[in-house]
Amino acid sequence: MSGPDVTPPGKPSELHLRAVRERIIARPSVRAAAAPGVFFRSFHHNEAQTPGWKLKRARTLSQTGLPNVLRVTHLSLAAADAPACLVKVEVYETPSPEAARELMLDLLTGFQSLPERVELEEAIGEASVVFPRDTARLVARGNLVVVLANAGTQLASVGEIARSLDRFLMDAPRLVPRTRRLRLQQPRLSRR
Amino acid sequence: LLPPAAPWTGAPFLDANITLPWSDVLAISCTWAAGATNASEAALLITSRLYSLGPELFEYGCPVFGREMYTSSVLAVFDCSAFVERINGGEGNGRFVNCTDCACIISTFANVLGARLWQSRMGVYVPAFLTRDIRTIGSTRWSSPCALGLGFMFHEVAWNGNAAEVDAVYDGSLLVNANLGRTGFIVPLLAAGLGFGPAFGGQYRSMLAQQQDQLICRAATEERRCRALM
Repeated sequence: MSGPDVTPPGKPSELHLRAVRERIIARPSVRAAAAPGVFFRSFHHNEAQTPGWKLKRARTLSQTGLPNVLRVTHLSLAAADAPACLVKVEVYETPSPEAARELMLDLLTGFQSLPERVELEEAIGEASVVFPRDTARLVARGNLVVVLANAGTQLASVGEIARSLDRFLMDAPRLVPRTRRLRLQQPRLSRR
Repeated sequence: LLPPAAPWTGAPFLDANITLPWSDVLAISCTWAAGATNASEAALLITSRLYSLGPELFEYGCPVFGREMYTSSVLAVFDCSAFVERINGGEGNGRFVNCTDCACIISTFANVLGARLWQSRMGVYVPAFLTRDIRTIGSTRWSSPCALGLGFMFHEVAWNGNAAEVDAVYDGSLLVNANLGRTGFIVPLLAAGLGFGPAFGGQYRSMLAQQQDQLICRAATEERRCRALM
């Protein structure tokens, strides 16, 4: 008897994507395209980005086998004052803001019991898919997609973590020091 | 028992090859499947053990709308290390699972003992199929999925053979009612080695989907997968 083979990553089925699209209500204020020029690479989490939340687990996938996903960081964060409150955060780095928007739709296929209507708004990030009671959220900012979902016995509103991370992302480029252009000198040849 | 099957391999014998059977996974699989004399029995016992881990360790993720927490379907990976961590007393990726997570757990832990299970889906996404009352992992209630009355756009299970109608399913994410009559007691059944069956055939499909939606709840054999490990 032949067995299964490992399946390469790929797009969700078109039927599944259609089913997801049918359930999204976009608020009129959501901009069609992301802000230009915002690009993040090699996201690295530290606890200062998510005040009040302790890092419990971190894992990075730097080779995804997908052209539209360059790198994924998986985090588990526990509330500092309530350890039963656990949130799983995934940060997807894509090649462009357009790829991020497309990936956000693809990632919605990971919800088996998607509500009949999910709202697309821009309160956090450039686009954000918000679930009832804010137990899960997807946020697109530049070329990044951040997925947040509760994972513990005590439920938390994930909006606050999303807002803190987004604030960090918008501040981050300013932290990068300006580079100075260096003039290369001609190599000197020693003469004997 | 047979040699491990995908996502596991037996070669090349290198540190970097994460598809060589993990000792942690073998320890868990062997404990859960103790007493099994063949791969089908092992898969059955693993399915049963997984379901019994609710509600202490796992619960169907209604609060997060059934999001996959140990799997990424887009990346086609199963976060086996997080699951092992949770079984061994850590947090892992938390307590919520969905059907895709359960399908990956069962197939990955059974295949290391020589089973040949796929992760495969049923349903057509649009429209969703309505279910009869089910009892999801970690729940004490019989109801529609998350009591929303919306049914499933899809459902995923570990599936043997070619993941076709004639093949058997192993579903650790929910119990079905084996009493197909419209009245009478609920007869809880964990589908482990139960044929998927044709519409109105009296097997798993008839126990899961409501009568009028059994044709929608078809085997999506073309979507069968085996996700890689991470």
